[in-house]
Amino acid sequence: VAEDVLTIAGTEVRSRLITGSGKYGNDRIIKDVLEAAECDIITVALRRIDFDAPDATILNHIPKGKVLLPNTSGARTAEEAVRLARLAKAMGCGNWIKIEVIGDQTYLFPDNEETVKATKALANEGFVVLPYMHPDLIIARRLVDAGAAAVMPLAAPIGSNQGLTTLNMLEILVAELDVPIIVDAGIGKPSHAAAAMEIGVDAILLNTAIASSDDPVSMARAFKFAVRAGRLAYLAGLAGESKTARPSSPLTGFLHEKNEGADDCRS
Amino acid sequence: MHITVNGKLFIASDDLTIEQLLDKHNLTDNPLVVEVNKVIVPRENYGLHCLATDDIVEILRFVGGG
Repeated sequence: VAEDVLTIAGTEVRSRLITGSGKYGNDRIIKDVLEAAECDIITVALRRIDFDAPDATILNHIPKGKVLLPNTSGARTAEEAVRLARLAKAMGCGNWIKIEVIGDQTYLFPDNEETVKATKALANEGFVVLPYMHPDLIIARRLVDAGAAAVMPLAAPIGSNQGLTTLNMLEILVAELDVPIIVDAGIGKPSHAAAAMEIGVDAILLNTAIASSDDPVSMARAFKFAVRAGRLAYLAGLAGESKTARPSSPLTGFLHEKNEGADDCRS
Repeated sequence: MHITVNGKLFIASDDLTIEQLLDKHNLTDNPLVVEVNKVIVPRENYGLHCLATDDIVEILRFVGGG
């Protein structure tokens, strides 16, 4: 059997679980979380340096060899996202960027229009662009045309842990798009992650569900297995549903059955 | 002269270089990126780039995020 590898912009990614590095009480745990999750890609954010704690850099806690996926969180327009992306690239840790342009502060929903603009500008500059988006097929196609290496539709509001509230829309993206689909935001439980993988999305990006768990390392392991289980189920092909029962055991040879006729068993 | 660093006003001596500014804040060895008036300054220019009055300087680094 050929190895099931996810390819994003020519880079082979072995793990279909991508984790964020935010919300950890102590960043020292991140290394153990990454090991438990066995993930290859990790997201980070860019912020002003804290003069009172200048040594606090997340990079100390991320093992070498991981793909760093900086986000443009804090951006409200395409222009701000492009500025943040260029700053992130100047950090010298690669050219991948998660575009995050937020248009609403209550639900943290992405501004799809500004996201398309930023995707176009940054793809033209040679970035590997992974846009966080509301799962709309028409916008997804525009993002692909603009040069997105993958699309990252939300399952539910960021950090809400509500699960696959956009399931039907995600299924449409799976049916229609050729680029990888990474479900980002809203996944709260391993069962949500498995269910998303079962419908054929390519990967899961999550942060809060692991970071806010009582035991982030164990939860990271749980999500690793859930993502793998969902992927295997998708590849195997789910059996169809029906309204009525379909027996799993033979419908013949019951004890109460009466057999017609008489056989002569005298020798 | 006056410069704004990460949103805060600073009084600085004339011809302060970025390298000197970073040194003052013990940031010389940190992985960071510096932007002056919305233009990114390449690392190799930190010692040459003299700040001017009213410059707006942003010094950023990676933090945890999703």
